Amino acid sequence: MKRSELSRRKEYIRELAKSSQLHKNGGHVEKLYVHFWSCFEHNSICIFFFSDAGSLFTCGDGSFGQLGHGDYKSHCSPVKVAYFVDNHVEQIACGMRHSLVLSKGRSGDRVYAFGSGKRGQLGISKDKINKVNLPEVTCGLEGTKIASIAANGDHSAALSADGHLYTWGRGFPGNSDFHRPMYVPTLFRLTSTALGWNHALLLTGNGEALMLGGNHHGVLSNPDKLSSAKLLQDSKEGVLEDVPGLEGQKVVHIAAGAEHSALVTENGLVKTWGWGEHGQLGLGDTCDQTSPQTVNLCQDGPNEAAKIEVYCGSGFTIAIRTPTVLSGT
Amino acid sequence: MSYDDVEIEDMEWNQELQAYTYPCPCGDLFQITKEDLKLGEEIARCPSCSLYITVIYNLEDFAGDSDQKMKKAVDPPKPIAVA
Repeated sequence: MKRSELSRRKEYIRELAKSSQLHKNGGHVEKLYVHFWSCFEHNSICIFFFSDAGSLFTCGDGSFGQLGHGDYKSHCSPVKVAYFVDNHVEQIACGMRHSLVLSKGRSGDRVYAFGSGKRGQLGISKDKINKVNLPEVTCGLEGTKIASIAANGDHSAALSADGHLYTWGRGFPGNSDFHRPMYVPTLFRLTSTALGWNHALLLTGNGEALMLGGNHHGVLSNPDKLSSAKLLQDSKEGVLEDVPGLEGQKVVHIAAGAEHSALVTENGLVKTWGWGEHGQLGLGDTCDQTSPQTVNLCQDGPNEAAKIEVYCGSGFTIAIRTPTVLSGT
Repeated sequence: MSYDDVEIEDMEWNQELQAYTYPCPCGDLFQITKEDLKLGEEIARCPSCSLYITVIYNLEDFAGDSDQKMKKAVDPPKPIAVA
């Protein structure tokens, strides 16, 4: 991505993520806090905001109906999604051309989806859906308490409160597309999930990291490895595998970009792997990696206790280190 | 090795770039022009990285265009040699 394009988008996101904004909404001025936001970058940004009343605002490219306004128009400033006026919007997630909303209300938790449905990523019907521009309920999750939702590329996922994973949309390498949420059995309860365009990362309650689509990870720059990974895909079902090379270290945080992954270990190490052509692995080169490698965060000053979080996008990674306040200080 | 196979219907026409585009995992766009498609080209490249996709389309939808048809109408019929 061109440097000017990247800085223009960073600036745009910074402006939108200011702690509060006053938004005129039909004459009533609503104080708008950005509680939670998600975006899919590209030539279009789709950013969701919440107000303190749990309302949803969307803007960016709407050509697939992913803004949820009932049309295919794009918007340069936030527009309230009328559909959720009586629901409390808890979380949102954006894929390439679709959006997911988790709403919590008196009738229980509901996952809504809108935008492109060509790969089943909306999970609203067994039949092929081209696109929808208004929120529709994702089937098969009614009655389940949902802890979190995730989306990226043409994939969708939800984690239930009791740690079960459901995925729908484009199949991970080795799997066919699923048009409705499918339960993915795991040995242990899951606490978080992160999606890329061709892989999924899962974190268990025991601090173990698992991966779907791992065969394809970190082989993009190597045509021989990529074609043998594709042959493997044809011969067996996509398998959930342990993330290699961690040697028993517990994982506390996971993140996935389009074609790379990152995690934070209990010892505060940031490790990355996957596609490296844009330096997104932070390892000082542009090589791909098939297993997690430790990133040198170049910490100057005393080695104080800190919380580290890591986030990934398309071709970039962000790590945030927050020193934890010592008691008595 | 192609990163993905994408149907032309799933690509978006970009007026500025004068090309059909599809998001690349690096943040830029895979691009292919109408001229490329007319010539039967099926690779859409990303200007920012080494990745490319295979475009799935019917050549007939792009091969004949109005310019060519106009030219055929305007050109005088060529004399046919008779042995």
